[in-house]
Amino acid sequence: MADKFIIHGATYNGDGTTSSEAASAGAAGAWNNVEVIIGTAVGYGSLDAGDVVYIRSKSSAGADLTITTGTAKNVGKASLTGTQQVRWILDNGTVWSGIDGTLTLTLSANVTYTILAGNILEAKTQDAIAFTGWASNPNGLMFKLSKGSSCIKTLFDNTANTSNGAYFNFEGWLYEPHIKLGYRTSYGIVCVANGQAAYLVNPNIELTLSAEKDPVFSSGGTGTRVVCYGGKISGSGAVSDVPVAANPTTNNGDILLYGMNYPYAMQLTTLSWNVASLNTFIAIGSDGALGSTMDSYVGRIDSRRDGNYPTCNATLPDSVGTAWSFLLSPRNAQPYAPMTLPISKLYSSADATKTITLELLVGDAFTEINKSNCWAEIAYTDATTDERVLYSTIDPAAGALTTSTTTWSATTYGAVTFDKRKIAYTTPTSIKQDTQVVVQFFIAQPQVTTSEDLIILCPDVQLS
Amino acid sequence: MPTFKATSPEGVITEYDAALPEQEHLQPGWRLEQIIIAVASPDDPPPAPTTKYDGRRVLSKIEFRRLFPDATRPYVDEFNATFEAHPALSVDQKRSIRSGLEDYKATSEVNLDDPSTAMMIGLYQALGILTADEAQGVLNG
Repeated sequence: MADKFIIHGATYNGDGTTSSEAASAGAAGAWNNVEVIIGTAVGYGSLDAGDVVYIRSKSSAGADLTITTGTAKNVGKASLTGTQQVRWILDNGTVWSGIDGTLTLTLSANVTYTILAGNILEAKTQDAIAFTGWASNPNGLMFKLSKGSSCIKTLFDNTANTSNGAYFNFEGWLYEPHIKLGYRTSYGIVCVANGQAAYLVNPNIELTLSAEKDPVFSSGGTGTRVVCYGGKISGSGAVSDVPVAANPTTNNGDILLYGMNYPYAMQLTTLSWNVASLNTFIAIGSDGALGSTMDSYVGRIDSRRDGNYPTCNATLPDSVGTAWSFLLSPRNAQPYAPMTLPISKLYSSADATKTITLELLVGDAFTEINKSNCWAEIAYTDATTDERVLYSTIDPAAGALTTSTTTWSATTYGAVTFDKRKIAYTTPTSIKQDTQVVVQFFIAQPQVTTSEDLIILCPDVQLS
Repeated sequence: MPTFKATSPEGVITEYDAALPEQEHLQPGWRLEQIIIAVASPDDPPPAPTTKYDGRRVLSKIEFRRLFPDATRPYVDEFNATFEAHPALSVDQKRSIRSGLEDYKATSEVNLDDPSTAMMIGLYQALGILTADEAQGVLNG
């Protein structure tokens, strides 16, 4: 476990142990071939598990480094096992003062770069390590990040493709990646291997082609996950009808986006879900604030503020108290697979019985909605017994929902006109002070006319 | 002799072999790259197998059927319909095939990584219905 050094193009190949050029072959000094990173033998000295390899980001002649290959290449040290790692750092002036160049690994044929397990590639300057290239008509895997490997501040760019697409298969962690996607096949950024996960931290994803309608993310194996923390999707290709997420088949994994911003015009997914599918796509905070979208077999729930849905009582905890609400589109909701949305409120007043009211807008064409397929289950702590109790508003007799007279910002959305409705329930016992009231909202009626059979729900449960 | 690629501030590219780059190409505004051609080596990973569905491993039934060569698929169907009378199969083998075909009927998709898929394909190969290459082609996806 030691620091090692590479100066590509140095006159002599050293033993890798110092950052200076070697005075003779095998002497103390840097290795002189950057192809060590793609498996070329070091010649002198050794590359060991635990090593940190610093790469001078310009050759000894002062040029940026570009490795080009027409054959599939592995990147990093092979056969690392368990917790063994080798870290490859492209320096930007810390080791070699004033040197801040680039290392580009480019493909000239339909082959793949694979970062091997246990290898970490770190660019000290954003995008200074870049994976690019590919020939025409690729339609295949351009780059694979193996399980247990990581990339930091690295650029992945498939925009050289002129037709069809190239996809990236990630099974490790990417910190602050910059990903430029042109044509991308039905996969996009995918995790293929069953049971594996791809984690992208603060990714900057640029979509460069407005004509490309394939998804940005997919989860391609059983039980796989693609998870993003922060980041954004932007560019001329981030337009309507471009799904953020999709799966090649319906029984694959989850796409979970926490705080990743993307334009409202993009859809979280256009997937036609299969009844057997249990996976879910979630985008929390995708509007730059707290607005979120969830899509699954049963339908879509959306609270993005740039959706501009009608609002009632709920406000965001921002500086101006922006009003917000949920849009529910219960595509396939059924009694055996209802759409459900849990809402909670901390009850802080003195112990008392209360009427709990949930305000709704129901599309006026959604005439199938009634108390048997649209209800709430209310849980609270009984002040007398200190036990959690649960009551349901479901009415098997299918009575009509109660009409409400509360004020909404609007009762139309697009072409849809809504009726004001409410679900109200008076608790039979006192609610204990400073305990949580949970209102679980259910819809068990599928849409009949998708564009009009919508429900808008105010998440600010009223306790009066 | 190193290969250099110099891109002028106007975007004009010059590529040349020289011991050292031209001094002009090291000036501000120029981009100078040293091109390293990585040649094939015995340690390179094998090329990824060509796949029909972008490497996807879970397929619809019709997609799965299309993995079988057109000329071979009718023989696979014929075997599936007549295996009960196949003289070369043991009772246990017939029981396994029966169960495998029932699984196929019961599902809407085929997972190429499911061991039962590999078992059935291996059986077709062992009985000469598929060649080794054809069997591998199906399992490659």
